[in-house]
Amino acid sequence: MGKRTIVPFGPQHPVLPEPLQLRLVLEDEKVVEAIPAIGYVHRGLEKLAEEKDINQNIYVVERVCGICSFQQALAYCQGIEELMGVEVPERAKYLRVIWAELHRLHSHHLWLGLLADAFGFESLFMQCWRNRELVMDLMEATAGSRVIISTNIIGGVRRDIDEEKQKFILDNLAKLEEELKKIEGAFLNDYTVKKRLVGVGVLSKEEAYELGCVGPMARASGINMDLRTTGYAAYGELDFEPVVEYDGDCYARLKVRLKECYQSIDLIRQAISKMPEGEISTPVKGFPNGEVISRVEQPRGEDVYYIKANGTKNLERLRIRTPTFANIPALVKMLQGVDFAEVPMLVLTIDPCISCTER
Amino acid sequence: MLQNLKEIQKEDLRKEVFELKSSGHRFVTATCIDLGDGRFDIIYHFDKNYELKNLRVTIENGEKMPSISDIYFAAVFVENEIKDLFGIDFENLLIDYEGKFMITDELYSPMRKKPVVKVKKGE
Repeated sequence: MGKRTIVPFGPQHPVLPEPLQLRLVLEDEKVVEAIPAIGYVHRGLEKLAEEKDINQNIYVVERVCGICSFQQALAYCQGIEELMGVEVPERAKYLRVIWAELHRLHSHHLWLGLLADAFGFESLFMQCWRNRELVMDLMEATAGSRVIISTNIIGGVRRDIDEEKQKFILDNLAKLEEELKKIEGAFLNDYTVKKRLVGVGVLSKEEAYELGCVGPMARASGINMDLRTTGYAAYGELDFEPVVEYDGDCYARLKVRLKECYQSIDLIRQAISKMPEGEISTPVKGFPNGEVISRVEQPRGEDVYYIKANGTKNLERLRIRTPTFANIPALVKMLQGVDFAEVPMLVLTIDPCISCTER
Repeated sequence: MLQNLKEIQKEDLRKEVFELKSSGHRFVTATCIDLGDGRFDIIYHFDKNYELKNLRVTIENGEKMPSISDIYFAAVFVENEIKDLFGIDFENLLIDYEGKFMITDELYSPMRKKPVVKVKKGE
């Protein structure tokens, strides 16, 4: 047995945009155990949601995470709508898909950039984030802000996307697709990139399921699971299949997210072509009562909202289980037995969002 | 109103969870709710083919819960989080952070209806 050392990885580390600590027990250069610790930026949003009314809570849940703020609000609004028996207009459902997929696109581009940065490919990192700006511009044009767009309301959405803006979206998506093809080659074929990713951090299908993995993490290990296939919002009207890879390594997780970028572009095009005319929201009166679980597929995977209401303007309990929280057990498992130098890459391939985890 | 909800006793929890695991269910999460009258609900959520199954256990303040982290490792961080935020103890936790998974010494069960805050001597 080699010499054992404990190395604190984080909470401040060049590869981590947000604070997470891993206590790594090393035997020479091999990790034998990893213990995560969180709590550096916990904000108590679930508690705050008990103080705010059901409409103010939309703004609270959007701040669970900037990168997937739309999907957080979508999960919340869909839950309240189910409790109150509100039927959302068809056009609003399509608009929700468009914004949700724009969020997925910018989230995946953000992650691609961070991954490139982590393996030291600076120009690729900058190219990904430059491409991301095309999506951010679309958000600004359609919603008025670039990150937290606040377009969801209980009963629908608060803004429409007219024909001129639809054309702007389609033009920018065409540009993005072109740019994506350029960076795809560098990610998938570059010798150095493959050396860092292929065969690293392998998670079998059985392990991924047992450890409760969700999102691209699960799909990269061969699990065909994507909540969008349940047909919430207008996903039931659109033609798509979950992106699944089978190798379960860092490279497979990269491939899933790259392919999902193309899938999101396709879904937005389909949504624009099929979107009917009509109202964008339904007036809602009264307050919800009862318990419900609402789930959506956000960029990192399954997002779970448990809502307990009591017929007043305040909620009894709002519980949010974000996908990063679900993927931490798998990270702990994957880190056992890898080289110390591979730890940053592995941490990054779960696409950790500490803001989500520390809601 | 919650679909597929089963009310169970604390003593039956592990047996029920074993059965769900053998039938191929994935552990999703657990939710703790302070009922405000000295009792707590803990709801365990499981999924198979997009269908959720929920187990609800109601306990009194001060009661310990059996941990299911040896059945589903994925439960270990959820149970530690509940321990931190609600002050509920779990027996035989696979990794026990002893109430320091995400909060500091000054806070104790901040998610309760009446949060308890420890005050250091001299403050």
